[in-house]
Amino acid sequence: MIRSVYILEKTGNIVFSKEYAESEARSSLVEFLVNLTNFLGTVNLDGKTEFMNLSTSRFFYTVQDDFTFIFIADKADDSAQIEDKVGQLVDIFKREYIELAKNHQPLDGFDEKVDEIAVTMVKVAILGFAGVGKTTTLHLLRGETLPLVHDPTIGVSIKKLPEEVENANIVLWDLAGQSRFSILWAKMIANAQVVVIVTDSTLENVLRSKKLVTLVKDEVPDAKILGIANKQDLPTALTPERVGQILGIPTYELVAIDISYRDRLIQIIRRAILEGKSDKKDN
Amino acid sequence: MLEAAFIVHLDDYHGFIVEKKFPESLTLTEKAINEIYFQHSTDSKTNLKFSEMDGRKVISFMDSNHPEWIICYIVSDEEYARAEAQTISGMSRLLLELLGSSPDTIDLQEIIEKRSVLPSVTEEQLMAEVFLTPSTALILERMQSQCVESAARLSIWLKNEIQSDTVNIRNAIQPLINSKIVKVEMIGKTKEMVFLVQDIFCYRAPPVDSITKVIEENPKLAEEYLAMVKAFYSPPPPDKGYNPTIAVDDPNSPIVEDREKIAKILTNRIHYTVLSAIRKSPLSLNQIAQNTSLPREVVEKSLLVLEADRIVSYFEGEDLWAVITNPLIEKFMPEYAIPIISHKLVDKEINNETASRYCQLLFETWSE
Repeated sequence: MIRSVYILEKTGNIVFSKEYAESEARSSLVEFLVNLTNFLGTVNLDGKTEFMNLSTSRFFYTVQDDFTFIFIADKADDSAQIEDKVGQLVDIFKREYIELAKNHQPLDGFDEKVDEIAVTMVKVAILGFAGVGKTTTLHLLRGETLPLVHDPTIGVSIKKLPEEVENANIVLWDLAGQSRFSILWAKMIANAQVVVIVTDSTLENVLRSKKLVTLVKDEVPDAKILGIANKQDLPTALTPERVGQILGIPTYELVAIDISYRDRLIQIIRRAILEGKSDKKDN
Repeated sequence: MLEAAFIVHLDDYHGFIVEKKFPESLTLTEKAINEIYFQHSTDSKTNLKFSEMDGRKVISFMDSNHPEWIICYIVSDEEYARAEAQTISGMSRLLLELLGSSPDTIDLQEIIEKRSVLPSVTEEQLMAEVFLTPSTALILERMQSQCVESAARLSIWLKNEIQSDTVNIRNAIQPLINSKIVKVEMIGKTKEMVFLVQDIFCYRAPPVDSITKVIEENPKLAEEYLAMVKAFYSPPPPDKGYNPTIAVDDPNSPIVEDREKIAKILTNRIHYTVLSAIRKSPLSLNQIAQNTSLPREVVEKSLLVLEADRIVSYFEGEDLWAVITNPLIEKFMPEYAIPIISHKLVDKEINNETASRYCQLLFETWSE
């Protein structure tokens, strides 16, 4: 994730800064960034973006038209992707804001543009057969009142998670579970970074859901797959461990109608996003 | 009648996004859009589908080349929509092209009111598609020398030629089948044969019709126009000019390098529509926009592309755009196939049944 974005003048004066997550102590970080800017003034990067590692962070920097652009990201992040984002930011800055910055005028609207570049989108698809509680899981994740009546989803229902997770906007794709909609599943999970396979923890449903694991592995091999053993409050429920063994994927217990599971579920998704990033990097 | 229209984009991250709608007050639900999309997903044989959305009659259009877009219209009744299916398809094709090239120029209300359409793909455009895929163009070359060959042998030849085992002969040959250049048939129970029944020639023809019209109606322009065309085809020496009759294996032949460029222009529906409008006679930008029902900015952009490829030219004094080289794909009967069939028959490369079926196919294709 991108933790912060800084733009400094040649003199070391900060023109713009935005922090998306905690990083090093602010005062020592600023001192370091000013020193880095001074140093970069003595070398020629030839318009390229370079990076250096510092503890668990990675500092990406480039110098263009007397301004130093610095992105602080995680070591686990894809460097090519961050370099591309630095390039996008530099382009927008040079095109629309450079004169304002040189004249020390406010950079109106720049903050939103930085958000567009720095905040990434993560697609989380929720898959499972009819009636296992996918939409209830979606409501739980969004912290919404849970519906009392079962209203089957048609096609796909797409909602955002109200809060950002790891500086990413999470878009939840709740796919209709009825078999007539199975034709859409492969198309709808395209580009998902995380796929959550929801089961109702009954043996019959879990055995059927093995097909979904195969489908996901075929269609989105890079996605992280999570199993959900829902309806753990029912007497017929298999344990999450047993469900995980059958499905062959990490599986977590859930009672989607119980709001206390919300934070736990968000943490599971957060971990999956981070693991997905490191897997990509290792490959 | 058409009461409203909306364009939906299926984005991999954000899901269904209503990109344009007319009137602006139109309200839509995620459920309704899902129903429309689902209908198209279950059966992709036809582009147009009828459905009901919250009590309103909807006709929607999806094209397999643009699977992320759905063009929808709310109509007063289904009978009207069925009667106007061709116009609705044409409008949808136009919208899809504009979404791909200049989405900002789309004025949904204007397109609906003017009933602006993009015609369906012509035979010439289908033929042009052959030159867009290198393996398809290679198969055509092979068929020009072999005329008839078994699909299995052709597949081995193609894999060998492009040094790849993953090439799919069915995909590569499809543009040739679509444009009716080849026919693929089972001969006997096991042998699938490919027959070349039409050959094509892709080149830039002098704009004879347009020049004749200009000489008759605008002598003032004629001299300048003729000089420009002449400069392309027969410039003063030492320049050689464009000569499509030079054999394709001659390094001076303009054909091979140029035909891909021509094919790209002809297969682009907007460029093709603009070009078709001025093939017969020069027109002003406004006249082209009016005749084609395309937005003025789109026509202007297309003309600039055509000008860069030396297909059209602008005559400032007259404020007219005219064709200076007319890209054409002409089909002809592969008469050279007759001796090849007879040789293959003598050498037992093909049997009697294949030879007689080939002659029959040629006869069916070329007889009135």
